[in-house]
Amino acid sequence: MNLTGLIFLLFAHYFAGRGVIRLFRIDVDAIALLCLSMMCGVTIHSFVPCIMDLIHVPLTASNMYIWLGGTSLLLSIPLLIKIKETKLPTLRLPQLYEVPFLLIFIGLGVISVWRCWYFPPTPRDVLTGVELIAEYAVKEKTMINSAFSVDVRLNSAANNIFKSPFITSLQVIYKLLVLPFGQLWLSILFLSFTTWFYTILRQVVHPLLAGMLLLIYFAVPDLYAYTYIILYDYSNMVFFFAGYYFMMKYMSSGKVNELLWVSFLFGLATYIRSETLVLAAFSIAIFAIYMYRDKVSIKQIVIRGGIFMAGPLVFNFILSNILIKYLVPYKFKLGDLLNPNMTDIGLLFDKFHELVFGLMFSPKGQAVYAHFYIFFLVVFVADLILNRKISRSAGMTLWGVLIVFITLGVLSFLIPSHTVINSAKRGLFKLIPLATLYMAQTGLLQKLSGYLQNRENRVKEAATAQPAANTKQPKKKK
Amino acid sequence: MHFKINLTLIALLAIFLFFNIPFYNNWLNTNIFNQQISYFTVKDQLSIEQRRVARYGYSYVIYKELNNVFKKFKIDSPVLLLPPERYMKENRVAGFNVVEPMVYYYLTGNIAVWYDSPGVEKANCVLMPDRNGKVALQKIDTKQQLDTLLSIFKKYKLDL
Repeated sequence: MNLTGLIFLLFAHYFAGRGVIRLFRIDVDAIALLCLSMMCGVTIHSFVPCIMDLIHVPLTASNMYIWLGGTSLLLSIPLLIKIKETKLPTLRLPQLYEVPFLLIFIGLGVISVWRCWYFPPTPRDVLTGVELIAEYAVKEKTMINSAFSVDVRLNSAANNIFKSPFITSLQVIYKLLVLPFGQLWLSILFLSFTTWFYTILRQVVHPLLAGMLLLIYFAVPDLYAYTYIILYDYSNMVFFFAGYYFMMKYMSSGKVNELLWVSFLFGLATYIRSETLVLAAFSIAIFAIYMYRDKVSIKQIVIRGGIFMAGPLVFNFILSNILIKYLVPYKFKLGDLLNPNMTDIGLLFDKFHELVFGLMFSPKGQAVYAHFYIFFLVVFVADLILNRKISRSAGMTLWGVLIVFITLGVLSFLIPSHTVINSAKRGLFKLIPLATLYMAQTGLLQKLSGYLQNRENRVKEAATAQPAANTKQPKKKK
Repeated sequence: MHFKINLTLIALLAIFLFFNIPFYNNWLNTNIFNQQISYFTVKDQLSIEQRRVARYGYSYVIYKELNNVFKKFKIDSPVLLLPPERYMKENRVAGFNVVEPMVYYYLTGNIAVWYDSPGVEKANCVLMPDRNGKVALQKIDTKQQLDTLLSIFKKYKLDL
């Protein structure tokens, strides 16, 4: 493994991502800033090999260093301009009761990174598509290479050569600069996202409850497996969640820069998996309903909705009409993949039935998601019974969960190759962080969190009051 | 401080109870603590080729070995005809996975075809089951030989 290459990439991702975040003027705490910078940096850099290939620059290690360094420098201009405004972060040490959970998370993180480093890429979907292209791109210095000369099974169920070059590019970068199997970019995404997600949960509930919720989230077997097996769904989940989370933040702030940021994040999610365009379109309904309830004018709703959808549409255009069009020497025909029997609505209900009883609540589903949905349903029902009302933030998150569920059912109906047992199975990952966040936002956990926080504050106040009283006593004697 | 210690004990208890739920206990023991893929088991097998063998298994070793067999048979530009997986299973070949032409190219750098692939007429060797339930490479010397093989294979659906 080339450690120099890895260190270079870590800095390059950070500065590129940090520059982009500064460009959008997003105000987040130090840990979130670091994590989001890494996440964005990794994804933005995946465009670099594509651009190099489109303008016929050979994909060699030295060219990659130059281009990635140059891109990072260019993207960090917004950061460099206001370098004087940069403050050193104030980091807080974890509380004693967070340590047991943190040790578990660090252990699971180390195991995931080890497996990601040790094993070569495995999924059939990447070996018959993006990984094959990346392997020969490194050997032949171009992404249009001999991988396309074998029987690529055009218009078969998977159509893997037409998938986003997101993985191909990152594999090319990491194979050239770090190690022959690439893959470590996934560990960066995983560690950054999980850390950021934990900070979000800690803001919403008491750290003890945040630790418990993150443990339930971590212990979803397939979700954990895809932190070291390269495929699109984990990365897609990361950016879909980020987009949805900042959309909820925008709903309360109403700042234009945050809306642009949301649009950008949904755009990145669409670039990774083009089906996200459908999810973004469904999400816009929630966006519009909440704005209407906040008495925003129809004209403003349309304008803001347009900005919201601009990112996914632009990135989808770049993906379909530039990257796939010019980097894959075959024509993609979506029409061949669509369900020829769209009028059969019964089939749509069959898909939803299969999604719920054939997957989520089936023995197969248990192996994939463990008891996650049971935890979620227990909290949901208990909250409905005991609390009887859903807060605005919890409501919005719950809508997100519903959107993912509905969209996946509809996609399985529209595109038969989007099978419930494979595609929807991994697509449901997008639901998991949202459902975890919802559990944190429920009145039930909020009350428990408030109780723990109050007790802790009272103990703290008593501890600070006692020494003060002790120091006063000798004065009285005088 | 007492309250924080109490909360720490609650955290430890929660983790203990969580991993005592049968499914999570099983996941922890069979997946997370899987000895076969732990660092301590494979620390002496860290070369790229050893890691490939560890992941892709017996089939990968066979496919890589084919390169030596091609040299032995003096096949300069091998185009391997891959049998359908179901055909191999019917002939009791155990522990061997027939990969797709794309995966074969990824693993070995050589061309392979299926019975319905474009360019199947260029196939000059084939993987066939032998009497011991193992796989063996056979040369295809004539068009008649190829046609016979194709007519056998076409009876089986390809698993994609």
